[in-house]
Amino acid sequence: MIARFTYVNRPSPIHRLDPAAKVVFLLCYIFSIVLFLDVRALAVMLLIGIVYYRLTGLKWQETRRAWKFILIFALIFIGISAVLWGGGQTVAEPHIIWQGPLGFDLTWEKLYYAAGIIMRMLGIAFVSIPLTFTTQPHDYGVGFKGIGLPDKFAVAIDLALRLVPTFASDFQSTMDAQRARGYETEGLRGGPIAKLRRMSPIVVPVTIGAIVSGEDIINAMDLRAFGSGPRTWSRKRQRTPADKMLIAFSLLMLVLCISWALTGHGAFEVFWVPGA
Amino acid sequence: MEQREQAQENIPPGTLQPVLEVRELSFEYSGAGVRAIDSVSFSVPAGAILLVAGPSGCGKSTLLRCLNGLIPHSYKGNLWGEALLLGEDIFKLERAELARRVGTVLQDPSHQLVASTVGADVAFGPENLGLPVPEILGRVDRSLALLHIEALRERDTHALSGGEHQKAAIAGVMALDPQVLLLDEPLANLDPQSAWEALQLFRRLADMGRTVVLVEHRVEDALKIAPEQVMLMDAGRMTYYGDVEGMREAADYHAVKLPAEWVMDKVRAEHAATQEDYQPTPAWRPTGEPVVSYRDVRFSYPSDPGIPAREIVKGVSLDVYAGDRIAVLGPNGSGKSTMLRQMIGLLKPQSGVVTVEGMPTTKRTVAQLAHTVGYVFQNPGHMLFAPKVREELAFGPQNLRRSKGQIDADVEMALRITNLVPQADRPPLALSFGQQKRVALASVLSMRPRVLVMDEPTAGQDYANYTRFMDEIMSLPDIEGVIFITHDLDLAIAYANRVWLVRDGTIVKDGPPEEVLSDLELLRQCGLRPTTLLEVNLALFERTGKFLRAEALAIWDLGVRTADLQSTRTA
Amino acid sequence: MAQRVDVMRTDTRDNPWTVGTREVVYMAIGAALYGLFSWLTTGLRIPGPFNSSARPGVAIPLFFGAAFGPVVGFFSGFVGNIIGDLLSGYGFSFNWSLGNGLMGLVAGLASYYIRRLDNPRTIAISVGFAILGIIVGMGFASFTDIWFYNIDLNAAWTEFVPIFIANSLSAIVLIPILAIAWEAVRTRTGQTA
Ligand SMILES: Nc1ncnc2c1ncn2[C@@H]1O[C@H](COP(=O)(O)OP(=O)(O)OP(=O)(O)O)[C@@H](O)[C@H]1O
Ligand SMILES: Nc1ncnc2c1ncn2[C@@H]1O[C@H](COP(=O)(O)OP(=O)(O)OP(=O)(O)O)[C@@H](O)[C@H]1O
Ligand SMILES: [Mg+2]
Ligand SMILES: [Mg+2]
Repeated sequence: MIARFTYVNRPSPIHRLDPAAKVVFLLCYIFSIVLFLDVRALAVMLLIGIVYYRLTGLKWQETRRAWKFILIFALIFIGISAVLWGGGQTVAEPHIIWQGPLGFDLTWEKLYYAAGIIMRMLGIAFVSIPLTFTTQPHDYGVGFKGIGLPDKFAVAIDLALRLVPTFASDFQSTMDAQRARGYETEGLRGGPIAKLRRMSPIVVPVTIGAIVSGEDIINAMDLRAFGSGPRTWSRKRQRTPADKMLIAFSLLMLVLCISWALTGHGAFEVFWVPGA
Repeated sequence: MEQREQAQENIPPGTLQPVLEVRELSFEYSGAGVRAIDSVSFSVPAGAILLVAGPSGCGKSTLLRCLNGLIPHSYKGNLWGEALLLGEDIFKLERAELARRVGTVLQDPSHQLVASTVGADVAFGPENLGLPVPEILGRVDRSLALLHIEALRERDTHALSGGEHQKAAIAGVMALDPQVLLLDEPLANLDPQSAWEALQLFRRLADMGRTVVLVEHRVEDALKIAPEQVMLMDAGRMTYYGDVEGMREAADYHAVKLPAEWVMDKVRAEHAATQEDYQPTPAWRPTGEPVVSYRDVRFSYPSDPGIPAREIVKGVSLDVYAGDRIAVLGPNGSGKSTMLRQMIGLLKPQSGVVTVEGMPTTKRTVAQLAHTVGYVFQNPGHMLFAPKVREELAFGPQNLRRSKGQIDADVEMALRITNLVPQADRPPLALSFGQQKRVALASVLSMRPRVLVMDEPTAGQDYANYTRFMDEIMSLPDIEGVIFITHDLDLAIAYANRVWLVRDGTIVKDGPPEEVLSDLELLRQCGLRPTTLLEVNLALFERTGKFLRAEALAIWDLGVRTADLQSTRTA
Repeated sequence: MAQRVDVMRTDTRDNPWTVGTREVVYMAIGAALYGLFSWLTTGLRIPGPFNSSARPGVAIPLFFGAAFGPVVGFFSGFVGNIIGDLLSGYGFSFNWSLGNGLMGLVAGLASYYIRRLDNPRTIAISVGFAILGIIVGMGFASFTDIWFYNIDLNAAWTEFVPIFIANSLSAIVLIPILAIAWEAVRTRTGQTA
């Protein structure tokens, strides 16, 4: 079993960015896009997302799983939220397109509402997916340090990512050791509680083994002066003009979006239906 | 008091101020009730190696913790006595200061690498000291160069081999440029070639002026680098402190692994008094149908898309018969574990066939095969989960759907054989490592397999523990075949009647130890180094006709001499 | 005449919010384990319209919270969820990660009341806080979806209820098992305080 992070190594402008800049952009973008439900505003945001995504050079092959997940999620939302329970119904007079059975009708409002949600989701996806696909796992710690996270938490992020493959092979060994004792995972019978109980031969050794090895890790870190004072991050890089530009752009975008929303164009005020 | 005088006598005349000086040091973990170390005194100058040896639990790691500041900074308890680093009180030094001056490589180096890549890990210490970046990078370069591991810089730490782990951990410590280097059982998981390289490295570091404290119960190996001082410990106390020559007298061959000649001398001296006898391993006589056979087995692990799969097992054919005691030897990564996991169906061959009791493993589940083949994994931590030892042992037979009465009887049997009756109702996770190893074995024995496969059964255990453990296993009733993977040649000499030498996915030689292990050139190619026991055995082979462990050799030797004596008398 | 040296050990558990090396390491371990377990069980679907999977692994941030404090609980949940998404290639979901963090944090508040998980009473308390944590954390995540994706309240409920049930079952079954095992090894580690 190979626990591999979904990092794709490729020289792209986004790969070269400081992870801190990417995180700032991601957060600003998300908080900006959720301010709107107006498809015109959303279209602008979506365009920004698409441009950003295109810059990563990621291929469909590589990100297929993520997109599938998001599309399924989106479809379900439209299904439940927009159509069945009539999102957008609250606004204005409904413009009915088609009168269905059981009081279900398709309205322009519902369609535009669904379109708005999909655009939001796609926008968030376009900026979220690149973060994990274009950032080397061991750059996260220093990246978060770069946006003001304290040393200890930044080190904890690095350490967590370093431990994942180790625990994955411990998991594999545990699985093998228990199967050699006749343990079977396929066809677990019984209700959910019985099933959960049957997991303890795997969950307990892996978890407790990890905690016990933690004792050594604690000592190893203390012995190398961890926490004895402010630390240097040798991997920290100088912010490039590109990083600075992205950060400036993100903050500007956020400020603009907030002012636009506050001046009466936010999701609660504006729900635009053409011709309404 | 006595020990202190002795300690002072042993400082070679004309040396400078000692770097490490310890006087009457004692420590009791809070709530333990007994002292983990008791009145320890010694003094080591620059450029010297102090070898500390003793059985598991004698306080070796505790002693190191007193020298590197984990005691008193991280462990609670009571501390008496003094420890000085170049005349300064260690217990009063700041943690960061101590980290700079005393470097420690822990017992299991794989837990010591805290960053994702080797380069980042080596930088970790200097980063914590808040040094400027160019200085850190310079230190990383120098440390990696010192250990000749520049090539590992960008490698992921989790994918390193045992020997590489070790070197990376040392590099991480050397980046802080310490005066004192503390090494806690650094050879435990290394194959003989890597262990030898590690030892030479320690010598080199000492020769560069560092003070090295080397904790290791593989005394035989450690002596090859001529430590200036040796300390033996037992139950927290110092039983010997002085030079190597003097230790020959003082050391107990039951407790630590000594060179074969030393053991033989001691056994000869004791034998007159005890008349102990050592059962030799029965000779190899394949009889009847093989229990397990491989025919041209090939295997590779699934690889990432786009990367061609690397074949790990490359066309192996073998037969295991009742009565076999097989030692599997070979370098790290040669495919020993991969090969043997086919036996219980955890891995299935991609071509060729593995049959167990005449049936191909592809037609049976792992659970079905577990009736015949018992597989004990190296690390007991990977399998213990139950709240009581007894329940742990019942887990296997329950999975095999044995009857209640049968299970109870088999669990009792396994408890008895592994000497775990007093612990039967305790949680396995609360036991010591050695006891956990026994629980792991017992939990496989309770399934009553015909063939027992053990992956590195002795790794990480002290000599006294593992000889007792192996003796017990070899004398088990009902077990028809035993197969064990090991890096310890002497274990093969002492317990095997058949040896598989594995290299690069094939068995390059299969036969009785006398035949396989006498090919020294082949051993070298397989990363093995002749031990003193092997050398003695080879020297005496013309007369003994078989390989024996040191104790048995000594007794044999005595027997021959008495016989010689008698024959000269009668003549 | 041995000189007695005073030995102190900074007992970080005195204040549940302190973060020392011990907490840093447990944060990392909790997050790595939670991420790994979540990824391994992505196949276990919860019945219901949403694309959520049953995660027995939630027991990890909940247990780590109870055993090592709210900060460790929060980090295990928050970063663990991100790592799970990182492994499975699902991108990154901010509010769900934060929700998982809150879940661990609330579970960790139990450490105000209990020091050890060595008897049925303290274990029951930790399970109680864990369920509270699930309500707060998963509630936060489901209901912020209203804001993020403009789903309506009913949709948020349909998302929340099955996850609440699945997570609570994991907490009720797995926390006691882990607690008993942890107390057994605890005396062997430095945690002898
Ligand atoms: N953290 C601890 N709390 C309480 N007792 C401890 C602790 N660590 C070790 N001990 C006890 O102190 C004694 C000495 O242990 P120590 O680990 O120093 O032995 P060791 O010689 O290093 O053994 P090994 O060869 O197995 O590593 C043992 O009895 C052990 O049980
Ligand atoms: N699950 C796995 N997936 C992919 N490759 C593996 C896996 N397990 C082992 N390997 C690789 O197969 C090779 C043989 O490994 P194996 O563990 O069989 O060697 P070994 O002889 O038992 O070594 P050691 O003495 O270190 O235990 C190694 O190169 C290892 O990296
Ligand atoms: Mg030790
Ligand atoms: Mg192996």
